[in-house]
Formats: sequence, C-alpha cells, structure tokens
Amino acid sequence: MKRKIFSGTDLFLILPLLAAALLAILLPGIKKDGARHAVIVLDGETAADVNLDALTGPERHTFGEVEIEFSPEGARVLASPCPDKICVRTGLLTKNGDTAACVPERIVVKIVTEKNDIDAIAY
Amino acid sequence: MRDRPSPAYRVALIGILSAEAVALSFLESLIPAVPFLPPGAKLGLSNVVVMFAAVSFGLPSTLAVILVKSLFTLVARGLSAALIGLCGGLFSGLAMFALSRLTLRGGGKNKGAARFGYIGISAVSAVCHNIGQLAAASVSAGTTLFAYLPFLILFGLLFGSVTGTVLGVVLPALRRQTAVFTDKKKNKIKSKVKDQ
Repeated sequence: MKRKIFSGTDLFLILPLLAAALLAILLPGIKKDGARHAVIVLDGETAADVNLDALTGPERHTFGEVEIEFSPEGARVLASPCPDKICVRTGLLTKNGDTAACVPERIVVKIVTEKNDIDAIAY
Repeated sequence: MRDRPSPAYRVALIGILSAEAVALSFLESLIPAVPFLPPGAKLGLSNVVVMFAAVSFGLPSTLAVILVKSLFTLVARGLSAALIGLCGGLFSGLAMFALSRLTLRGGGKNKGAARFGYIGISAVSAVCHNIGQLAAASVSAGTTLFAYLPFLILFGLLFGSVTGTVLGVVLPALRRQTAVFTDKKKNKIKSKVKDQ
C-alpha cells in the first residue's frame, strides 16, 4: 500500500485535537478566581487543603517524604525522593487546575478555586 | 504478497525491532530535560520503530516490541515508569494499527490507497500514548491527572508529527534491513520491498 508522509486527510485527525487542546488551555484562564486552595492527595485520599490566599508567607510541610511549599503565590514541590523529579520540575502551581504529581510517591498537589457559578460551567 | 512468515523469522524480526526501539529510547534519555515541557512529554523517537512494526507487520509484532520496550523501562526506570509507559504504548500501538489499516473508499483513482499519511497516524498515536500514560498515572496516583492532558496533546501532536516525518524518511532503510534477513536470495529483495 502506498502511503505518503503527509496526506491532506491527516488534517482531519490533527486539527480537531489541536482545537480541543487550545480551548482547554485557554478557557480556564478566562475564569474569575475565587480563593485558591492547594489540595494534597496522598495515596488517593485528601491529606491537606490549604487556603493559599489566606497565607501571609511561605510555609513548608512534609507529606510522606515529599516536601511542599505553600505561599500566597501558589504551591510547589520542593523535594521528593523519586527518580524522575517530574513533580519538582513542574514548578510553581498558581492557576486553578494546575497539578504537580509524584506518581512513585503517590502524591498529587492540585490548585482548586472555591466554587462559584462560573466554576460550575467550566468544570 | 509476502509468504506467511515462519516463527523463527518473526522472533528475529521482533528482536531486531525491539533492540532498535530500546536503543533509540536510551539515546533519547541522554538528551537533557527541557524545562518548559509538561511532565511526561518526550519526543518518543523509539515510536518510529513501533510505528514501522504497526504499519508493516501487524498487531502481534507491534505489541511484542512495545512489551520489550516496557521491560527495558522497568529495568532502567522502575515499576511505575514501566507501567505508565506500557499503558501508553498499548494505547498508541492500537491507534497506529487501526489508523494504518484504513483505506480510501468510493470511486476515483485513489480507491484503496492509504487514508492517512505517516504524520497523521503518528500525531494521533502520540496523543493516544499520552492518554494511556495519564490513565495509568491517574490510577497509580489515586486521583485524576487529566489536567495535564491539553498540554500533552499539544506536544504530542508536535512530537508525533516529527517522529512521523522521521519514519517517512528512514522507511526505505528499515525495509531494506528487514528484507535482507527475510530473503534467502538477495536478488528477490527488490520485488518484495515493492509491495508495501
């Protein structure tokens, strides 16, 4: 069967995916933010819920062997014993939906804004 | 068309393709991490070989190459990386196989021709790889990680297009390589290579 490197029909595959991804990235940014919380999920259960906008300065907490910093700007993973350090490289989480995951340590940090009407539509 | 391959041929073929896939993923791991990339986004050069298997040799050979690649990940990067990679590999392998079997229908001179090019198949398969990875990562993290998905789709489309282009370019070499050890008489190579 003869096959080209690029066929015009490829656009029917690529463009819808591209449009969906761009929409999903841009839409949450439009939303007005309520108070932002950093939610820590450890072993599948919520281990902590920190209201970031109520903090006055940076605070460090350790969950398992993972060290996390909460501050009014956002939350980030400072240190983890995992091999890939994907969670640390994710950096500072600021917006609703931002997530840093350390799968080997089974810990996830998520930013969640308090529910309001627009939240209900977007999520 | 090619004769039905013997078990020995299949094993040898899968061995060579797996070795190439493992070598490519090792070489890729030598490239330093790029800071602005979302976690889990990689070029995925070894998928060039996986896609060659899917397009040319069917589903069992493709799945075998994916399995060997995951075994390498298990040894090199540990259990959770291997499970995530295996899940992504299975999703993308199925997508590659399915999309590569679709042909154009209806009248016209293009009837029966391949429906999608290498770039289209590769880009969608890369996105499927990301979806599989996220599903496995979500299960093992105990909470949904699909917030990453939009970013992974963007880079999956980009990197998938790159690997699809690479496959299109290196395809003649890959075919020559498999033909050399398929045929007892080298003078048959030309006629056999033509039919794909």
